[in-house]
Amino acid sequence: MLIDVRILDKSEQLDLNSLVNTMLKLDEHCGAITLFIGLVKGLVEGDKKVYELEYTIVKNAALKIMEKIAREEAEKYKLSHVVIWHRIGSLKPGEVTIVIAVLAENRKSSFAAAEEILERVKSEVPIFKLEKRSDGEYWVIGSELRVKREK
Amino acid sequence: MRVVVKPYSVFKDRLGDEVILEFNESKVVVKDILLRLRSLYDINSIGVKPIIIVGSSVVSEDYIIEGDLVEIYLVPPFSGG
Repeated sequence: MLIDVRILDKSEQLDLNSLVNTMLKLDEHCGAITLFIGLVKGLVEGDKKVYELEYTIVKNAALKIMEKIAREEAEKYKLSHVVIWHRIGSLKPGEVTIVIAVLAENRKSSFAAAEEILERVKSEVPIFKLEKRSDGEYWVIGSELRVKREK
Repeated sequence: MRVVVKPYSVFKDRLGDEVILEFNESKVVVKDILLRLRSLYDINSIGVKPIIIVGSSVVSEDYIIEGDLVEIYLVPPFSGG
């Protein structure tokens, strides 16, 4: 089982072609790759235009928790390869925020594992985002709440 | 003991980069750290539940922290992805 967990600065390149090509050759017992790519949304809460999304992170804790999630999900779904890459810093709409890729025996375990990993990263890893948008700056708290920044 | 609190996100705006708390005992319950912080800063009005991370673990309010110098993180619910 291979695990590839990274916190990436914006300056670091994301080579998704290379990632998929590597995974294609890893294990001939596997029948499915699921690749999830998260993007910065340009509009939120209806018509609020987002100019930038700024990610901050408790780095050491985040990396350890992401590794734990990857290991646990790999065991649960018998995955041959798990990739979790999360970018930090200031990102613009359309830019990649997170990449999750799994190599699994079949489509069911592949889809299920990728979705579960994503949900766990969102709820268990200490990462925080600040939306810089047309009506001000908002901290995103959990999956729903937004708190306008005091300035 | 000395507890160094590193706030993140909405708590960093209110508390700054770092808060240093001194306690007479060599161990302290997380609940008491939160009480002390609430006595120093208006955290409740933010309307966000504070979470404490020690090392790489989220800990409960009953968790006991020991040592001469301990660094902890004060954070809101996570929003990665």
